[in-house]
Amino acid sequence: MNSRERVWRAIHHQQADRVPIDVGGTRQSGIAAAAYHRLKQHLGLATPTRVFDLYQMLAEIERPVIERLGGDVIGLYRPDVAFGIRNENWRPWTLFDGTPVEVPASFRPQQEPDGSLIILRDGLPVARMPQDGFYFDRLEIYPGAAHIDLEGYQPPLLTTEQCAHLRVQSQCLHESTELAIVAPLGPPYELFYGLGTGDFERWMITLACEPDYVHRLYECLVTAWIENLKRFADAVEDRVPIVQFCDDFGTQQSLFLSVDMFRQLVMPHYQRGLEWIHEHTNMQVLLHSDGAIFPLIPSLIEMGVDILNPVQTSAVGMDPRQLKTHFGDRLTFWGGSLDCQKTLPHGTVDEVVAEVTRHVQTFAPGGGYVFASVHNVQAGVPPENVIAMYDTARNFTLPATEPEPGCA
Amino acid sequence: MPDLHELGEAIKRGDRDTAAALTKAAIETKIPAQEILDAMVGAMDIVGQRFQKNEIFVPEMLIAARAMKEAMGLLEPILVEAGITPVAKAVIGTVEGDLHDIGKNLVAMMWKGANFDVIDLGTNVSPQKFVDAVRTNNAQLVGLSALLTTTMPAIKKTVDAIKGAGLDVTKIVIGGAPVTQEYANEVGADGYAPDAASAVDVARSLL
Repeated sequence: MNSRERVWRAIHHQQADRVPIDVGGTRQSGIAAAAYHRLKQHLGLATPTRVFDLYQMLAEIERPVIERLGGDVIGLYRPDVAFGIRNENWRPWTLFDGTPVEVPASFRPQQEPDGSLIILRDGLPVARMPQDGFYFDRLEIYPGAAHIDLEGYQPPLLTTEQCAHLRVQSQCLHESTELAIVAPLGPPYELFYGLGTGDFERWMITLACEPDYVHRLYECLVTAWIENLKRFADAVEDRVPIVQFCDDFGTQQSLFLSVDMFRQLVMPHYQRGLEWIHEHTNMQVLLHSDGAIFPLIPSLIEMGVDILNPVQTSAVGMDPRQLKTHFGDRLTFWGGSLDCQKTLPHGTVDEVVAEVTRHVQTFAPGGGYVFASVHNVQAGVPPENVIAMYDTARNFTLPATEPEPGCA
Repeated sequence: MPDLHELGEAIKRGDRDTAAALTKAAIETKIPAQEILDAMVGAMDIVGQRFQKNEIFVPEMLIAARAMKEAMGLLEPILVEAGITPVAKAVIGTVEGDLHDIGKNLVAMMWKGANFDVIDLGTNVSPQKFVDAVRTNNAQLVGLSALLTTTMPAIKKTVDAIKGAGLDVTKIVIGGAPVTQEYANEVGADGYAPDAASAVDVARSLL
């Protein structure tokens, strides 16, 4: 069974030969460049480490590493993954912690007097990394936070050039690998959380007080999203089985917003986009949302979500057994490996193995599960723990499946 | 006679205009400032409790805090006249290397709602800047926040700097996504708050 078949079976709720694994197939299941570099040193690989996501400083995971860790998934990205900077013409650069990496040539951050780095776009600062920091943070104010005037507003659309790249890249990944391709394509801005970038409090107040404005903004964004989906589907044809969108509906303690507010305000608009996907393509929909979102899951399923990531099992109420029991027949869990804030960075290898085994035992039987780290592996995570995490999932013995009734 | 109960209700439902109008009326009819203040703080306490019980969420909490802020703006001069001072002075910020502030802002807001005088230093705040602000403002309380596992060590550095500067009387409360009670114990912080509403309870218990 190859990787593509393995993932296909999993997302169709059938058990595969082993647990399928995602190593860096999305920008939420990747590895920070610093951690990746240490991992490669540990594995005896001497190739340069490329930072493909300049926002989160994530490494491009090379094929030998995907293979070594048992990865079954690969991401399909636009040529400009972050800040409009094209990933090409790589040049050497050094992270604050001294890790040698390669970055795209047009990544030229300016150093401020306080040591922080600033990325300029069209002459304006769009992101900042504090001195000794590990990520850039956006300085832009997104439409929800800015409370933009909707008269004549046109959200960004995929360009012909971007679509041509997606066509060629999807062909290349489809032909040169047996990995399942995942592609991110959500609305131009995350409808709930992302729209508040720059002034989250102001955006939350708008959500609570101006439903008419919020509906009009969403209407406009989802119309653009559907246009982008059409262009995307035309470019990638049937080579991409999974399309991903991101938002964040939960804190670690509870939901960010009530189920009622979600259903009245946010859900109808996401649903319009997801209905288009299900009506016009064979792609399954993967939602990335961190946090304690258990009470929202029935609404997410109703909205058209097929796969949930990252399944933050350490958040309140996100118990693997409860999740599998209540939603396992209708939802694929993608992640849920272990506590990425405690066990993965600070635990021993034995603790990593024990927790991963427990979670995989719960999630994997019968399919409906793809293993992935709960969000990106952060800088400072010991390579031994990274390897133990993936190896435990790969070597896990799935229970024998009963033959289907009626089968000879 | 303006109704302080109604004022509390207006704050709880985030009705800024009614909260302001009722505060104004209460001041004009010479209701003692302390009583008006108690009604407001009491309402925000209930907002915090509802938040903890998942009866309301971030948007509702924010509009309640906004109504409180508006009403408080009207009451402040009267409080000063009456010699009523905030319960405590608190310095708050996100630690060095970390630019995330949603959780920190919610805590600042709830502390203001509990009638603390809050000095918000923003994000990416160095240990020295915390020490200077605590000293200059004679703060009884410090709130430190970190979102990232990678910036958690800056919490320890900041706690060490504050304690090391002989500011031991200042109570330190920490919070943020990867932070736990065990971590608070380990770094010598005085309290840990898992969410914004708990931050009020923890702070009150320490003061």
